[in-house]
Amino acid sequence: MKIKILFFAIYKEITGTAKLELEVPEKTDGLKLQEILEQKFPDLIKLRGVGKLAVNLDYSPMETVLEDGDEVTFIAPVSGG
Amino acid sequence: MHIKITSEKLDTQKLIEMVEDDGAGAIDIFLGVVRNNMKGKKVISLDYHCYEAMSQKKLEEIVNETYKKFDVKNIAVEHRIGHLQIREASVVIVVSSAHRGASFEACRFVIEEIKKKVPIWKKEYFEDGETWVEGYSPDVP
Repeated sequence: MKIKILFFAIYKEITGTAKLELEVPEKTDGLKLQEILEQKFPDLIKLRGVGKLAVNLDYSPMETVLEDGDEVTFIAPVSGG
Repeated sequence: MHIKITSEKLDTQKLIEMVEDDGAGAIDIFLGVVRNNMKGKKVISLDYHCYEAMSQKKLEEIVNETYKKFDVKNIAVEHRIGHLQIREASVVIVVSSAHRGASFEACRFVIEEIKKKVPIWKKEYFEDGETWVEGYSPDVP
């Protein structure tokens, strides 16, 4: 299945990209996706445990199983306002 | 309800006019503005980055919750993104209510929730470098 991954702020700087379409195995969850991304972008290991998973515009537990077409991102601690 | 994420300079007067109501006896305004230092270190300017679709959704959820919690008439919120200079407003929240207590409290609630939930990130520029400001790690349901 294919998912869309967005990168913002520190994630965008580390990966050097804002958006990625990625083919991942069925039943991939947030934890598995984190591993896949760390293999692709080794420097992301520095952010392990820092970002919160968001799936289709909502914060979601890392154990959330992703589905085809999902829009996924990792949210570093926010500092708006 | 009015919610907007914009790269343009914020216009507080425009938002005041949006929340006006014949039954309102109070309009409360909160402005978040760019400060010239971070724990004593001189800040030159800063950038706000944003996950716009999710920020819009989270702002709507916050404002909807605020309407439920407080006896207010209207709420208008705008958050600026992009490059900002010292003294410029990054966020404006304007709330009208029949009596002042509700709009004060609602205004406070909105800004505190924004700081905890909305995916916006601030990067500060110093004379000798730059850094992402680590604020609040959002709660996951």
